[in-house]
Amino acid sequence: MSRDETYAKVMEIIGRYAKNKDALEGASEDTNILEDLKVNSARLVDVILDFEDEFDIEVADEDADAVNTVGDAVSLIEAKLG
Amino acid sequence: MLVGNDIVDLRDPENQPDAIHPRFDARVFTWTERARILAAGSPHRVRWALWAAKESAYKVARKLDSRVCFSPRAFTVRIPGGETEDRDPFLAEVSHVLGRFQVCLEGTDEWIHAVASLSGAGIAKAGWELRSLGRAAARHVPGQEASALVRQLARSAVATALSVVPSDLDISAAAKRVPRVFWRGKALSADLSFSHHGRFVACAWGRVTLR
Repeated sequence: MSRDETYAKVMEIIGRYAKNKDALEGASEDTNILEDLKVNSARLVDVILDFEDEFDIEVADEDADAVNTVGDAVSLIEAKLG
Repeated sequence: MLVGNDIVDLRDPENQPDAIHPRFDARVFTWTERARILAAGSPHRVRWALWAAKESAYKVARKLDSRVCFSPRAFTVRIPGGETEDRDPFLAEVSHVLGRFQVCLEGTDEWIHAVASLSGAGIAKAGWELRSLGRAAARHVPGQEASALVRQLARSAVATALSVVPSDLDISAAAKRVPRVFWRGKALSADLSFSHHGRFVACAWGRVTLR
């Protein structure tokens, strides 16, 4: 799977929970998931669980805690997929 | 005296039992906590009370050690004998490798709010205030607007606690985005915590004096 394909799937998942739809439209890999897209901390748990389901991976809390931006999420998933 | 707080809008559509991920509880709660949720008269309310207790304790833990990771099951919630989640407010204790945190929870059918500190004395000296943003805010309040509102709320509440006029106080972010309170330009030692969810903003502060 290419990085662009992973990015598209990540954005599709995050988009379900983003409160700030305007920021979502202009999002990039540098976009902060909590602060810019206004995904709250409880919904971030759902986002991580959706990543696990979509990509068939396991994400430890320590790894999830290091995800701040969309790019962090894409890089984490790419690392898990090897 | 460090404080952490967390507000949960119990009517947020995304928080409802049929909206959260099927594995949410398993990811967030210990077996004991999950049993408590299942046995509760209002599982929804208890789920988010436990969440708010963990989140508020985490905010204090992060102030103690910025390397602390939010691993929800590592913050275990115990409700001491004699306290039940049907009472309002009720007390809980959150254990973590960094220590034990005392948490006061209160709420209504609309919201639940948690305030954590390192000791019961810390909770006794803490203050907190909550404000509804109204039904118009049910779906989304822009972040900057919510941030301004919670700062406004904190300024008013802390001014009342200090018996000073709000215009003499300034609430601004210091290092690592931790909010600080200034009186006539002088930094006060009071610790602050802010939270926003859905239709509500809330702030909490540790013991505050002008000295």
